[in-house]
Parts: sequence; C-alpha cells; structure tokens
Amino acid sequence: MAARGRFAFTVAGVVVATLLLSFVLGLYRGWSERLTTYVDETDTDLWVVQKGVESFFSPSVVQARYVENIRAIDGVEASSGLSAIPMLRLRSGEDAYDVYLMGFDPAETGAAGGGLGGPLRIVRGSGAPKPGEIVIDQILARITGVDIGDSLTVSYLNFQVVGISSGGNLGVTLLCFVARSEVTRLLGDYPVVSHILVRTAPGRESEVATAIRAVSPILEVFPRSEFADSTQRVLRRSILPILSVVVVLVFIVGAIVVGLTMYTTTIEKQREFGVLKALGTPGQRLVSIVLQQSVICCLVGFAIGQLGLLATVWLTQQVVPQFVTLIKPGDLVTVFVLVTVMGMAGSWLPVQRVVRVDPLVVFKA
Amino acid sequence: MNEQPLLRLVGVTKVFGEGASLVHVLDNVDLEVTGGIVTAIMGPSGAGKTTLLTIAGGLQRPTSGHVEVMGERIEGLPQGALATLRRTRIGFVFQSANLLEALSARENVEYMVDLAGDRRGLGKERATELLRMVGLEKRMDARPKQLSGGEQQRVCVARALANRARLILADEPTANLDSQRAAEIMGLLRSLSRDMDCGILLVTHDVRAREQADRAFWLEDGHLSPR
Repeated sequence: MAARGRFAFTVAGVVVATLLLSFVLGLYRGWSERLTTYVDETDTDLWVVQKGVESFFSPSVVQARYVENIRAIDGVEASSGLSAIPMLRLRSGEDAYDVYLMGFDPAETGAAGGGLGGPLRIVRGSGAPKPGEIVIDQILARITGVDIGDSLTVSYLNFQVVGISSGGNLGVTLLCFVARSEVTRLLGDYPVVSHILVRTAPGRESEVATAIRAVSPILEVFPRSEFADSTQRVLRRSILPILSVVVVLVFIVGAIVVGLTMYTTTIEKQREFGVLKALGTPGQRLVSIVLQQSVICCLVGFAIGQLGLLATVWLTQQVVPQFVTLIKPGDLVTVFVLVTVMGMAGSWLPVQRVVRVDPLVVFKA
Repeated sequence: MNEQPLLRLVGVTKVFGEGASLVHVLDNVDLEVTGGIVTAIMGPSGAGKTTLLTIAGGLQRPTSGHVEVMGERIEGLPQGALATLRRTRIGFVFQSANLLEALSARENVEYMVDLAGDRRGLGKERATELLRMVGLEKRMDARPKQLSGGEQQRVCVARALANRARLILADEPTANLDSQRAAEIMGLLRSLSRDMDCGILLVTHDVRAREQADRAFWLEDGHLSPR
C-alpha cells in the first residue's frame, strides 16, 4: 500500500506539473494568437500607424486629415480612421469592467458588418452604431448581463447597446465599438486617430504603402499579416519572460516532487537494490530501473494531467468567459518533453543513491 | 583428485579499523572449495564468517592475500568485472531469501537467468525447470509475501542456480527456518552439490547444518580451523 501511495503521490506531482505547464502554454498561445485576431481578421489590407509603433496595443496618434490624404492615393479603395482607446472603464449598474473602446466610421464599414475598424461579426442587432450607441462583444454581454436596448457608461459618456458582436474577446481585453465621433469627443475634439485602415485594389498593397509613407515621414505602414506578426512579437517579448519564470518554477517544483518521492522509494527499496547489486546487476541497469520508474510516473502523470487540463480549461471558461487558452498538439509534445526531462532531473538524486548502495546490506539480517 | 578448486583463498587477511581499534577479522586464512562438496564455516557471532563469504564472492576485497574463483584471481578486479563474475559464475543464497517483492517466484529466477546473459529467450523455461527442481512447481506465480520462509528460501536456491553457477555461497540459509524446513533446505543444497557437482560454501550457526556438510571449519579470532 505504501508503494502505491508513493506512486500516486509521484504521479500527482507530475499531474500538477503537467497541468500547470500545459495551462501556462495554452494561456500563452491563447493570448499571443487571440490577441491579434482582430488585426488578422479585419477586412483591410494595410494598417497605418504612427512611426515607431510596432503593435496594435501600442499608443499611436496620427492626424485625422491623413485619412483623406491616403484616400486620394491611386490604388486605394477605402481608407478609414480608427480611434482606439485602451483600458476605459465601462460601467453597467454597480459593475465596472475595463474595455478597449474602438471608434470607427460606420459609413466605411464593409459588407456583413466586417468593415474598416468595425466589429468582426455581428451576433445580434446592428453593427453600425450612431452617436450615443455602442456595440459590445458577446462575452461582455454574458459577463455583464447587458443586452440590446440597455444603457451603460464608458468613461463619462452614456451609450445604448444596439448590437452584440463576436471576435472581440482579446483575452486581456474586450472590444466595444462606437462611432469615431464619440471617441473624438472623449479626446477633447482633437482631430486625431490611432490607426488608419486602408483597403487597396488587388495586388497594389506595396505600391500604396510606398505612397502612404510619402504622405508623411511619421507614418508607418504594415501589411495586415505583418502587423499581426509584429503585434505578436511585442506581446511575446512582454509575456514570455513572465511565462518562462512560471515554467521554470513549475519545472523545479515538479522535479523536486518526483525526485523526493523517487528518493524515498529508493531508500525504502535499498535492500532490494543491494540484492540486485550483490547478484551482479550492472550499475547502468540499476540506473535504468530508476529511470524507467520515473518515466512510467511521468507518462501516467502526463496522461492524467491532459485530462485535467481539458476539465480545467472548460471550468475556467465557465467562470471567466473572457479567459483565452489555446491548446496546440505541438505544445503538448513540448510539455511531454519537459515533463520527461523533469522526471529525469528528479531521478538524479535517487540514481546517485542507487549507485552508492552497498550490496553488503543484504547480508544483514 | 586434481580438479581445480572452484574457490581458493590463500593467506586472506581482513582488517577493520585502525590504531588501537584495529581488528583482524580474518588472519591469514586459507580455504579451498571444490565441486560436489558442501563446506560449512561455523563460529561465534562477529567472528567474520559473513566477511569471509563476501570476500569469496567479490563483494569485499581482502586487506591482503588472494582469492581465486575457478582459477581466476579476483581481489584486484574492478567493480564491473566483479559484478560480471557474480552474475555469471557465483550463486548466492541469503539468510533472508531477499527476493524481489514485486516479482513472482518464477520472475525472480527468470531475472537471474536474464541477468546472466541468456539471450536465447529461454529464461521462463529455465526458471520453471529450476523451480520444479526445488519442489515449487505449484507456487511459481506466487509473490514472495505469499510464500512461506522455506518456500522463499527454495526460490532463493533456484535463483542461485539460474546462472548455471557451480560455486554457491550461502549465508545462514537455515537461520530463519524451523527445523523441518531447515533440514529440507540443507537436503536440497546437499543434493545439488552431489547431482550438479556444485561446490557449496555455507556459513552457519546451525549445528544441524553442520551435520549435513561434508566438511566444516571453525572461525574464531580470525583463524580458520578444521572441525
């Protein structure tokens, strides 16, 4: 029973490590990919931002008149200013949430509500808010209980909900869409936008990008996919060090759990290892016995950990709907390799112990 | 008889401690073990019987003197070579069987067949044959905890034969058994020495064991004398 208990404890340690490693990786994937969903899926060819800006989430201020200048360039089919303000306080009754307010020009909205700077998809209601109206993401609607026709406040402005959209859950923030004039009002009527979205004639992106750079030296132009990639890179730069620390800590704790339980097992089985040595079992075979046990614990722990991961992700999303995780097969392989290495690292001490077992122990009654 | 001894100890001395606490556990001991003979070493507790056995089995090195197993001097061999020697040429029978708890009786014996380097995949057959030989044909799949002390010791004897060793070193093989089981084990060892021409060196406190041995020695104060 003691042996089973130890096995269960070791496996539990690996389960926790697997769960945490997978969860952290899933969170990282979810953030880094979901955060750029909006950039990726917006129906635009080029993103124009202030020079030096590398990500969708970085502050960018561009004069609004450039929207018209760009629209006049040959090869531009549509050009629209987007005024995005992060971390604005949305209040609904007693509750308050931080949202990303997107001011866009509904007149430039493309077909099916997926326009230049507007919501990606409309679940219900309208995707073209007029002044005093707002479109909120369905996750926000679920969290707040707010629906079409309800009123809410963003910063000091009051809005009535006219539409529920999807695709605006960026994990760390939720997108809300209003008419750009509302955001301009929030900014004290300064004629600026944060981004300019440009749709070009087919195959003319590069030519138009060059022409836009000629409009003003403070403008930076990104093809859509490049802007998404650049945004991801910036996020990775900021998130990865934190996640790396978490991964290293989980790895160390997992290795310690595996190591200590394996070490205890080794000590309790010292006599049996002594017997094996006395019988002439080669040292490398003894080491492989310890490593095999460790690998078995890791395999079982990994399998249970993955089931636990599914349950945890499901449960988390029930409690925190905006929570974003993305589990990729490649990441599972990474976790498996990490857990196996962790098991091996945890076996180091037990292996040292086994190698030093004195076979004469078997001659003691 | 000109047969080469299976085991030969020449002038073996083993000293523990230093200075005032220096103890000569074995002092210039000579001993030969040949096939077909059961040799018993007796003596008081702490006399060095087990030390002598472990030196013979390459588990300890003598302070001086030399040890030959089937003509090969072993006292200077590296640990790896000594391990090879033990798994291929020597069989051990321990006082408390020392079977691997997680394995069945057959698997315990099979492990040793495999360890000895049998690459023919006949480990299971050989283990079955040996367990049959020691009278455990009906207990082959039992775990050590399901076996009586006598049965465990029989498995231990079968394991000692698994590598086809002719030199069997037995450490108090009857100490934990009642008189009937002890007599059975001694009878088994004795018949093995005769039927398989094994040389058996056993250390024991048990005077009944001495009666079954072909020769006996008394070890005291580091000296070995015929008894």
